Amino acid sequence: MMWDGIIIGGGLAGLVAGIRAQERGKQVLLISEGAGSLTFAAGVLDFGRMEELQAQENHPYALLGEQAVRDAFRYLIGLCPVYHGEWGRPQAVLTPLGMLRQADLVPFRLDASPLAGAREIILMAPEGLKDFFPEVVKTNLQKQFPGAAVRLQRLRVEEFTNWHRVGKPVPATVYAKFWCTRQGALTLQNLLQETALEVRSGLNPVMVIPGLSSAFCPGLAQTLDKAPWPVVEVTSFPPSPAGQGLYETLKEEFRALGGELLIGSGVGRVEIESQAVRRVIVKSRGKETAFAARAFVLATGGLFGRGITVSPTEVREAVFGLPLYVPAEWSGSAFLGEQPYARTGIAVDDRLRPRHPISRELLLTNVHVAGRMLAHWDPWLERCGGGVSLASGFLAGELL
Amino acid sequence: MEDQGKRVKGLDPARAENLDACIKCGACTAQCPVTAVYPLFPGPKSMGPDAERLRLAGVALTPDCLSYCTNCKTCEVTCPSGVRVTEMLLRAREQEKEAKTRLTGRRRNVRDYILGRAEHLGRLGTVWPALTNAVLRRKTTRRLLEKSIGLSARAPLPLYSQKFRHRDKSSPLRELLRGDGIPDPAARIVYFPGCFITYNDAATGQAVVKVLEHNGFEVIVPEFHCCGVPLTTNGHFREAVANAVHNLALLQPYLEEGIPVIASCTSCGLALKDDYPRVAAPGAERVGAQTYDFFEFLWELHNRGDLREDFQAVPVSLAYHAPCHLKAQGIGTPAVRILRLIPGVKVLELDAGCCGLSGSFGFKEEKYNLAQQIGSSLFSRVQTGMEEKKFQGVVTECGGCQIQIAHGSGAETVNPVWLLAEAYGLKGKS
Amino acid sequence: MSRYSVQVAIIGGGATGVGILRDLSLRGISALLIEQGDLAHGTSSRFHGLLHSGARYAVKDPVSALECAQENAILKRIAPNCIVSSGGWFVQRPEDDPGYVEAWLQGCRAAHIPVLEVPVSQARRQEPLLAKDILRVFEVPDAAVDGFKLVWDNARSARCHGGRYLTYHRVDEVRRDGNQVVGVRGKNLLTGEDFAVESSLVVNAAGAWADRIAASAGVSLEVVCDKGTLLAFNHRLFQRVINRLRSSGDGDIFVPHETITIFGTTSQRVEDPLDNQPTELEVKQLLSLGSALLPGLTEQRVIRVFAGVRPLHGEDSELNEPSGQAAGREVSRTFALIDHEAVEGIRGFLSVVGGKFTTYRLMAEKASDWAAAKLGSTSPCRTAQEPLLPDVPESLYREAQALLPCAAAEKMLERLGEEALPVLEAVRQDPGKGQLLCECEMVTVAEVEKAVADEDAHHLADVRRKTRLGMGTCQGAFCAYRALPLMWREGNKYDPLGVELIRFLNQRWKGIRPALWGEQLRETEFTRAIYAGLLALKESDGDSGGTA
Repeated sequence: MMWDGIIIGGGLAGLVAGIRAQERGKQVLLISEGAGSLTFAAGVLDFGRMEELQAQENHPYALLGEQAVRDAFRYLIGLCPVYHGEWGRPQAVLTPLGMLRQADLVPFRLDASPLAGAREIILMAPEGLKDFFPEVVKTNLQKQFPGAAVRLQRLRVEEFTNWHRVGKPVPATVYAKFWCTRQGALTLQNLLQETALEVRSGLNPVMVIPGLSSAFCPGLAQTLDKAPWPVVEVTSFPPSPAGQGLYETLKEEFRALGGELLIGSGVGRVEIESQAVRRVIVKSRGKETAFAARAFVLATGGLFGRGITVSPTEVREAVFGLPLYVPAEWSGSAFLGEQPYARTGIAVDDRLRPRHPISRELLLTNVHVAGRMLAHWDPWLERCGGGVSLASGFLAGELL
Repeated sequence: MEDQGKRVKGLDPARAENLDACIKCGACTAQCPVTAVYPLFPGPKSMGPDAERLRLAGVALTPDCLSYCTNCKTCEVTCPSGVRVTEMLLRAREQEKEAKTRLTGRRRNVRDYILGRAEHLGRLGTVWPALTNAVLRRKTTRRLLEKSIGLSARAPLPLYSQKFRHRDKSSPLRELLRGDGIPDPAARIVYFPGCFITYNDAATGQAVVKVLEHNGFEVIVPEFHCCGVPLTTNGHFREAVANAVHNLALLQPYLEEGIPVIASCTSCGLALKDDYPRVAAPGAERVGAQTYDFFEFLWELHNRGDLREDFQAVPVSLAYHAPCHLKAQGIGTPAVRILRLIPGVKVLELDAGCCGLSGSFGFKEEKYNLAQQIGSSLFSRVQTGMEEKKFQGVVTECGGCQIQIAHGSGAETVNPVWLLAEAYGLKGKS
Repeated sequence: MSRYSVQVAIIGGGATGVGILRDLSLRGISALLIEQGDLAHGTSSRFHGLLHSGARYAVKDPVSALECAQENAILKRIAPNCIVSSGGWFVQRPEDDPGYVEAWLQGCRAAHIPVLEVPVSQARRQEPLLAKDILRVFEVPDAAVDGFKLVWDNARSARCHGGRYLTYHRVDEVRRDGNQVVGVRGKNLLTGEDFAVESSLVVNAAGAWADRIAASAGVSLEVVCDKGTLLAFNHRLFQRVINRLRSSGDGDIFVPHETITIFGTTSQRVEDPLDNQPTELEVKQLLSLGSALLPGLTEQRVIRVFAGVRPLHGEDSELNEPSGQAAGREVSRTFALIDHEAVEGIRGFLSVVGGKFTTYRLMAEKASDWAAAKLGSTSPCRTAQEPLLPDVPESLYREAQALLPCAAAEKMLERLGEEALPVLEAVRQDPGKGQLLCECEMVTVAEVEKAVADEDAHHLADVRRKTRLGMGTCQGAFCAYRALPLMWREGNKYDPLGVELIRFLNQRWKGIRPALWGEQLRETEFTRAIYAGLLALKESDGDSGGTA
């Protein structure tokens, strides 16, 4: 059987490409070596400064154009209505350390704007929550909102008594899963009621709760809707409930549309005939399994996703062996400053097809490159990871 | 003059790359079904690649740290770096056994001994299934088993059926080979039924055979031993290898002829594809490439245009659960593709994680509750779906998953081969 | 201005300096050690971590060979917790000179170094990664030694006997009254405050900085700075020390160390002791050289690169070439004690230069003998007999294992010895403190908490050296974040946290950059995703502050 499209890579770009193509009635197989990187991500999506980035000659934004990025922005809201955002008006969210940062598309309740008017901030500290430091967060909130009194309220859930007894920290994803159950939502409701007795509503109280993601959990969202004050959630250190929520939502959508997911095995080699990829051969256990398709999406996550491998002598695109743009200077001296290596990737034409980085010659006619595999951008310095991945993934899905 | 140098052997080249690939992202632990519900299990990252570096430095961790891995391999499927996490864990378990540092009591050793050897029980059970089942159903028996060997009284122990037997319609192989012409290997096939089919669910085994025969295959079923997965999971590597050697000896003549081997149990299939090629025995070099999951094989036939698609419509909506060891095979979900070829069949993929049974894990007294907790998302997903009438039942290839899902959710759960048998009009035919 | 008064002031907190501090303290002589950074932050922690059997010097330097052989046996006795007696192999490859093997065997005999030939087939079995085409293998009593720990254990032992030390104190001048040295003065680098020490004697054990110290007293001392670059691999590639059996060259020693392997080294003269930035070229050359003993070394994961500057005594150098490759290696590594009274007529001032880590105790003994003689003390040296720290009782191991069953408790005991008691007590009180803060090296919250609160810890890097935090596979990606709340509690020490965090990340980066490929590059991207992405930190946060 010939698939309409095979997507290699199960991160944001790959999943969005798959969903879009299935929506268009295509039969799609998505192959991913392991879980994509969404589970590590905060679950909020950055789009960066459109004008500045578009002005960089080879930046993906220059290639995609503002309209495509805006369309992708709207598309994601349509796909996951729990995401809120207005183009060009970034929202504030709390980092795991309780500092404010900006993000463009934010799951409902991660938006930290209610804090601005608060005169009392109740910071909930679930006992044993892994990688969450209540005192540090409290201090940071106090510094940023000097007009509010920050109160730390410890929160103990019976279900995790065994964890606390042996001193095992409870990962945010595990806490989040509990809150998501009927019993969890009920427990939280009771806790809110108890707290309500001590809170004076005249102080515009706002409650901050880490370690959950109500946006991806309708029952919990209802409970929090009933809270007598606004609730603000906190982005998590990896793995994050919101990141995982987005990942599961996208996978479910893709499957519901009839797409097939093959997670856990990567593409070992490929068959190419006259500038077109015919089949990809997956490293299944024991033997290889070949899958043929009319077109392919390459969204293997760049350096971090192992889509690009680097040895002391060579920088290589892992699936098709495509030539890459590799910066002359590899790294910079300040760790969090400009790191040229991060811009390594594939040069593409306006249909996201790979081109030679120097000769500009078209290399493969039925492959579309998306997300972190594209050259000339850096998601961390430019804060545009969500924008580039969504817009290129969406376009790839349109082109399949 | 050496203390450490002699205690620990240097690293095998093959293991080195695997260990180096881990970037400590923690995806494996985040997805591990056991870690999410059981605080005493440090999780696959910690006990796999993290501890591996320390194990190489001669550090011994308490054996209990490892005992809660169920060998479901979710960590390996999840790992974005291709690290063989489960394998590291199981090897460590083996090393501990060899070092005789095992601290667990004798009682559980007997239980793990038995659970590791489902086929011993199976042989007994299938001699007189009705009697065994009657005995196993009695609460007193189960309480006794729990007290004596730690087999959970609440766990959904499978009942025994009449032992699966398949009489080859052809003459034995050696006679065929003696004949004038060598038969077309494409028309013959070896079926590895596995312990669950052999001792607990012969009818499904018959259905598999009928579907294959309906497609023109001659089905050969040698007297296989258990594939070895339960032994590996319970830490008995040597015996698992002995089983593999026995089975490979049976497979070898067919493998040489290029005859495909079919496994309908996803764990047996995984063992044949992934573990057997690493056993030092004749046939090992071929078995991986020649073994197919039953539905994977049917899909290959479909791709070649060789699958009979004279299906009758079966108007049914079903939920499909992908067994963990199917996911680990890295072939996608061929059963779903096949079922969707049948007119009238609607399939919804559940994707709600591990059922919790993990072969024999959920049978253990101290692990029964955990197994139920692990499966709870799946069960509630099934229950909600049934209530909302999104589907009428559940299909999944793995026998263990079938009984666990039925036990946990109350939904009827069968092997998807039955849909195929019905579509082919083979159901009820003997 | 802080003032101190002691009999002996010791400059330099490396192995030699703390060795002298301990030796003098055991003799009942009051001594104060002054160190510009953290103890062992320099050359004493920037080497292979090899406790020489002496075999490496058997041909070229028989005196060093004999000294090493003797000290090797002594240190294994007095500091068993700092040493893993892994044994070492000398491996001859087909291209290595067979004539050298004979000379080497003879040299080992002369230095009383026990040598045992290992059949090649057995060697291949025991070390599967070792090259297959090797000719002969000999076993010697080489061992792995933890430089940080040995230095700290000396300091602790000295403190028990009245010795004192000041870290982050820079000596600017050795003060004289006429031709008599009367003490030192300098600056407390943490507070910016000046300090002065009055002492009868000053011992200059400042290693690569010894010439500057000498110059401040108006005497000249030639120290050759010899940079050696080393690689740390992600895990134990070998289970024992592996040496190439040929005349010493670059990249021919592997030392398995805790969970990692250290491989090196190079030899290059540099002008400045601070010139310890390794380069990508050096890394690639080393990888290529090491492939002779471990084929495919290039594919093994390098987690970091570091360089130490060996201070060699210039006047002993056999070859006084101005600079260049390998020039440093020809300079004798046998140490020199220079009494500046004999040379320049300056009384009460001794410089200890050269030597090697393995012979630090012997150097300290000689220097202390000098001081004792000057002070008229007759107590003999006891450092060859007296163990550094008492043995950890077996019961403590069992207790630790029970409290921390899955957390490599024995490693913690090796690090802390009896000081593990309060850590275990903390875990007993609050099991949450038994959780792993550093997952790669399995270091608990309680242990890091103790290290952070330690009066000698002023930076996250000081904590790292004591706990191994941030030294494993992830190079701090997770544990730097997790150490924050503990540092936050010690507010006055680490404030502002953002500055401390970025300083730490940049220090780690310095060692990752020269080998920025493979999985460590992915790790780097992950680390950037966490700090620049998720936590939205910017490089500028490192200057201005902010909590984090």
